[in-house]
Amino acid sequence: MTRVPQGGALIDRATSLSITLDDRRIPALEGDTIGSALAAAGVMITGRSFKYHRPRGLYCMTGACGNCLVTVDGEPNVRACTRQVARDMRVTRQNAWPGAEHDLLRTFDRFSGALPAGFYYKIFHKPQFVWPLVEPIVRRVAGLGRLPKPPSPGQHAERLTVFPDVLVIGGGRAGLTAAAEAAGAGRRTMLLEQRAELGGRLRTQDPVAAERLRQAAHAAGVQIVASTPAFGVFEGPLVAAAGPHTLWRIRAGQIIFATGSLEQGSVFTNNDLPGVMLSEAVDRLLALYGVRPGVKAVVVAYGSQGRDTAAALEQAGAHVTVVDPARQPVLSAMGQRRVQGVLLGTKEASTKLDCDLLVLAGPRVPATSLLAQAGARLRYEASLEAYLPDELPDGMRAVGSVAGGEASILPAPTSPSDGKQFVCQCMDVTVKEMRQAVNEGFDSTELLKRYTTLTMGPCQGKACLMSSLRLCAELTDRPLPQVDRPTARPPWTPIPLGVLAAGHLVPRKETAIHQRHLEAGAEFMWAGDWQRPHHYRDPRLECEAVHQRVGLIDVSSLGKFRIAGSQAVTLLERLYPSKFADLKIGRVRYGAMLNDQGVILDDGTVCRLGDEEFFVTVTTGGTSAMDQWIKWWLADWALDARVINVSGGYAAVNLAGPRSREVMQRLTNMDVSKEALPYLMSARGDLAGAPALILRIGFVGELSYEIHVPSAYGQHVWDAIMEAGRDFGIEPFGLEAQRILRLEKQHIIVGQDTDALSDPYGAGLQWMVKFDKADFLGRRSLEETRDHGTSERLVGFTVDAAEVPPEGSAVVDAGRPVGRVCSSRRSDVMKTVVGMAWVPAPLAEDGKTFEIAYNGHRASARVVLKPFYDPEGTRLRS
Amino acid sequence: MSDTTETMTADRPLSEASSRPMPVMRSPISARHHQQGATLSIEDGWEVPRHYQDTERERAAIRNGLAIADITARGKIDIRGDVDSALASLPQARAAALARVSRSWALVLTPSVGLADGLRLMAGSASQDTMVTDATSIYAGFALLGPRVPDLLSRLITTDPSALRHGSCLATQLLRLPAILLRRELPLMVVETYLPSEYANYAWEAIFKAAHPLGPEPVGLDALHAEGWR
Repeated sequence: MTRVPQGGALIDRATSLSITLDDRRIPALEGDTIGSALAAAGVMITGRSFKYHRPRGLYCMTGACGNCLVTVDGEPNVRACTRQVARDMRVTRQNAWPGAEHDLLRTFDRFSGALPAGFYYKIFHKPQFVWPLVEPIVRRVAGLGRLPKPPSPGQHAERLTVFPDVLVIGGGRAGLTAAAEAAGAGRRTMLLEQRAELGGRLRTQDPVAAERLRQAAHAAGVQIVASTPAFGVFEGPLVAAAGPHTLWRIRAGQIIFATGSLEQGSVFTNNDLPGVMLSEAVDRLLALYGVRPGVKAVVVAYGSQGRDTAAALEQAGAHVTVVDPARQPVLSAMGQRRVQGVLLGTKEASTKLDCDLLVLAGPRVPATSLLAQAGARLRYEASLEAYLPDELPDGMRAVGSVAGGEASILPAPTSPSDGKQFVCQCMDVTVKEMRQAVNEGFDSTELLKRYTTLTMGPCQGKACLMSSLRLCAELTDRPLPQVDRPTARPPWTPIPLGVLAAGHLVPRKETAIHQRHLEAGAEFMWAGDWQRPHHYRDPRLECEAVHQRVGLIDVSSLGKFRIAGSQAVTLLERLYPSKFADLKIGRVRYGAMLNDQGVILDDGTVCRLGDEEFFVTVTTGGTSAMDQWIKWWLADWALDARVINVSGGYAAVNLAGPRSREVMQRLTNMDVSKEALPYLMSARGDLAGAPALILRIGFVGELSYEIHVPSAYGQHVWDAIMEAGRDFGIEPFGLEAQRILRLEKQHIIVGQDTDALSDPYGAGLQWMVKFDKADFLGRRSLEETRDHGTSERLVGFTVDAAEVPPEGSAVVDAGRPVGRVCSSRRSDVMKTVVGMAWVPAPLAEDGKTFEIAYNGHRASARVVLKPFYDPEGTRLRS
Repeated sequence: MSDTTETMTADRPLSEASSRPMPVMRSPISARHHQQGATLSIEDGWEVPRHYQDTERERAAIRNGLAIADITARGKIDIRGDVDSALASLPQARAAALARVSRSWALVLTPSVGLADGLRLMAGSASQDTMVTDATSIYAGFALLGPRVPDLLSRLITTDPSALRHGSCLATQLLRLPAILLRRELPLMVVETYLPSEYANYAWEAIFKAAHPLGPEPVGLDALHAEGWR
């Protein structure tokens, strides 16, 4: 191949640069693609094939096939034919060892008989020990390209969502014309083109006309987005397109498909040799890059385009022979590492022509995949031997050759000669393998596809679908229209995973006091969507502070609801098994919400703020679900009540410990004495200058105050409490300390100590179920349980062992697993391991023992039904 | 700036400014303002960023580019139920803006100094089946300003921003968060977004990340007021 003076519309002959191919410097011109630069430098082999490691070269020059995948600066599977060169670009040819020019793995081609379609299902499996040895080798050898190690940082890809009135997919003649018309009519119009340049085939046939169309579209105000293939049409319809470092999501009022047509190769022996090219590839090399891909060419002309290509080659100085395949079918391309000749005619009477370029000119088929994804119905048009869009969904149009603007005359599916005839070059699927698969019973297109991986490679059937369908028809002795087309699925063009992942977000919640935790050196953990302090220092010391002095924990992540209205109390009475009608203003009551099977969904507290107003808390993890749950039932029951989720609006802290009252007294003028603010009572007033709601409740077993303030005051109140508590040895404590402290009191955590079957009877919460009130969620199920008992119970246990049995360990009885440990920790204050476990009901008696099995160990546990720490609640109520 | 305004800087944080704790209200992203070198002040009890750098540069971003401001300190009153009856009690001048999300849900946005009055008036006159809630701390508020706001919105939301006409509001997902967007009736291009305050840090970070190609500038209240935002 060589650079010629003709053509070269996209290159700047005055600006030369160089790239590195493997270890070799390759000269290039500004505007070249990697493929055109390699072609100009006479590099025929662009890589090795997927399975047999056969040499492959430029074939389509449009990005449609998968023959020229290379690694560029560490990025694998880049199409050399469309990626523009850049100064000092490093290009590596793929899928070869030790190199693409001399690939030792070509051995697979010699022993292809041992690698039939689906070989990995059939061989290497007996004797059994073989497959584990072979599998890693198969995995290592298979695949295209290698991800860089360590992963390259890559570039940030962004996601854009746009809403044009009209979206045109395809920037060829028809697309540009349609876009200019739409924009001229005053509609916001966007045009997507997969290549860097516009004009499609017109660009090589009549560059002036192509440029005129581009300018007209531009002048009409079309938003032209080049180098951005649409790769999928989803419900909506939503069109997804991948540009350089951008994922486009496009919802348009109208979609015009101008996706053009695809040139199809033909199936003959050695049809994959470097030097076998589609005519469009030759046209583009000549017209756009000034590269003559061969000096002695044979053009197999299925249509008029072949003659144009032949003329262009001759004009560029090549010796050209044009062949009519109807009279002289191609039997075989000849050569080892590149085309050196072609065998024409029949097996009995063949003619050999010497050549270094074999051009397959036409046929073309409409590129209907995106249309099919969009829901268009396709019909087989016998006169054109093509599938054409028939019925299109509302708001969609097809224009240009995708709508059937070009006739297509397909070659016979197979030639009668021997040797490897590739139906699908991407996946190295041969006619022989197709025949074998059909003989094995895989006789529909979808089955053939899955068994042989036909059309599943990088080209996604662009270069081989029609050949495959015709061959399938021939092998199964059916007319072509009766052969199913495989379902068109995204992505229509390969896209980098990094672009697909664009805009991937992991929303996180932080409390208003988060900054203070950072400053205090907290280690954070995820609690649902929240980032919460796990600990600030040794959790045992944090527990000690709470038991002996005073501790402060941020509980802002609790779900909080304001429920008001004349039937607010009715709503609560129906949602909870507890009573709230008798709850006095200012009082607080613990409650758990159940589903209609009586299963515990969530728990928390209900504080009555007024006759018709309540403040309800739920668990951190259950907030969203309970928000929906409450509002769903409210809508169903049509009660006069309103619910607002105020979770983020309030910062909340729990001040706990025997000296917490003294701290409170420094912060507020409210009377927080035991008499004025007893256990399960609330007060509203000023705390450190902030309006506060104070609940006398405690999860951690000590005298505690749960303080809620508008979250804007969160940091201020935290600072004020820490300052006021300094003289009392206050310590912030995290979730780990809280978990130990609550376990010492056998306070449950819904979701950890309960599961999807736990009801109040099993969980030891039957005291809160009140049947002497009107109906509530779960009532009927709980009546059953009340009358017939429960088979499992949640109990506390202690273990005299150095090790803490992990949560999730099995409770074992007579060698059989009969329950599970749901919480376990070492308690310094109790000087033992404490935990909670679900056990069979007969075991749920104080003092009974059971075994816990974990990590090959057995530990003996003793049932303790009352809280381990302060069982009478004296400290909590103090 | 009111007489009660006390100016702080990143070098002189609030906690050092006074020997006894004052009840200071802070936006959830207060620490980010410090990190971004904002000059902060206390205004009506709120710590607010006055400016990050040269105010003129911030004003230029509002006029010609893309500016993002934390307006969490604005008073917010959530009305559920008979919105019209509750609004009828509120003098027009008192509310700076109204985000009417639906027939039965609205967010009234007031200067923080007028919040208590507004709440009292509306709670007092609202019909029996209406709930009026101080939502100031429930929502963080960010103002997106400048001619490049539409470009930013195409990176943040998946609904058509052209539906967001002057004075209208849109309840939508923004960066996977539930958000209320309000297009202000101002000569400037201003879209205010209100989202759950617990997501504020994430949202501020993610908005700037998404806006990176557009060259966003954080701007303070001085530039906002100078450009006519209220």
